[in-house]
Amino acid sequence: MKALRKFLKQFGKFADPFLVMGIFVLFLIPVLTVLNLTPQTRPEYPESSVLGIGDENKVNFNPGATPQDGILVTRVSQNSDTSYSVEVKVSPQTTGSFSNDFFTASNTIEEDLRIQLQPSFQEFPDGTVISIVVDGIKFVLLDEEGNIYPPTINMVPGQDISAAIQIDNEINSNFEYQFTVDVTIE
Amino acid sequence: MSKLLRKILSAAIFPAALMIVSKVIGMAIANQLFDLGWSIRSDTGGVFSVQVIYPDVDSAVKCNSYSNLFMIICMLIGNAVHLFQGYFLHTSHQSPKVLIKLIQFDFILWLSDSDSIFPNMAVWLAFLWVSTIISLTQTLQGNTYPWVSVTALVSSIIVTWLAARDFEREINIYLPESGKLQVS
Repeated sequence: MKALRKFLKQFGKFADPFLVMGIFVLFLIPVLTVLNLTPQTRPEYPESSVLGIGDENKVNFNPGATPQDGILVTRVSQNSDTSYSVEVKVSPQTTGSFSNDFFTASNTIEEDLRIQLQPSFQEFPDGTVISIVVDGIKFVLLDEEGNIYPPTINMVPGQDISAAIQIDNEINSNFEYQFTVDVTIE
Repeated sequence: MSKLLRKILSAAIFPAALMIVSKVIGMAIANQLFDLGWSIRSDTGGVFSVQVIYPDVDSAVKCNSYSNLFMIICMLIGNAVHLFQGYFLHTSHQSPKVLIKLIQFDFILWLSDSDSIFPNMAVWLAFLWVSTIISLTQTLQGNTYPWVSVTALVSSIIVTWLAARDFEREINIYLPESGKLQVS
């Protein structure tokens, strides 16, 4: 006992830093515990991140079905949850501008979406411009020189768009033709 | 080994434990009182693996606010006990009248000296401020109602002021305002 007391008297001062550390730890532990006990809310995972849930609700895609101005959507085939092939038949037309509804889409998720249109033509009349008009903005698919363009339409969360096909004929088109637009939603 | 450090260390154990326990009890009381739905989640990414989860933000904020309030009240009670000791049961400034009263009510053993009162008071005060700072931080993060933090802050300031007054009174016994040191 006496030896211990002597030892503590001689070397006790070296224990002081450990006492300071002990005091620090005694303050640190409750602080960390209380911070950790701060209630959390259950995280909400976006549907697209959950395995087994498809993306079919990302965009409500509704092709137009009523014939108008000699333009008719004849067939829509859904290739996957996010891609469609839309076939359009165009009857013989005179010179002028003609249009019909193509599709409506609404972005139902909290992320931006892109709708990519990839047109393909078997045959087309000379001097015809085929475009997609989305909210007043014209996206050309086929110009008068026969060049084909694949436009991309951006959709912000919650946005609804309605797209129409517009055909501008410089001269009369005297035959019926078809074209296909592959629509991919990303 | 420093006597003061040892006193502070031993004085800090109880308030540290009380801080944790009062937070847990506060959460349990809030859950029971407001009928909040809660669950426990294991998260190995943090310092502690267990987290309490609520289904919505309102429930989480309500539970956190009331549990913080309960924790601060517990810290205030601890501080109040030490302030009471400092003001009324301190050997260094007792009038004979008060001493007689203490003997009458069998409180004589509760008398404490400065060596034990001030380290305890300082430690409890430090824990009260730590609780207040946690509450203020969580208010800024939107996890605690502002009135809880304002209450904590005002209480902490008042307690600190009372403790400072007691400490000043103690200092004045040995070093009066004239500046001459009195040795009894």
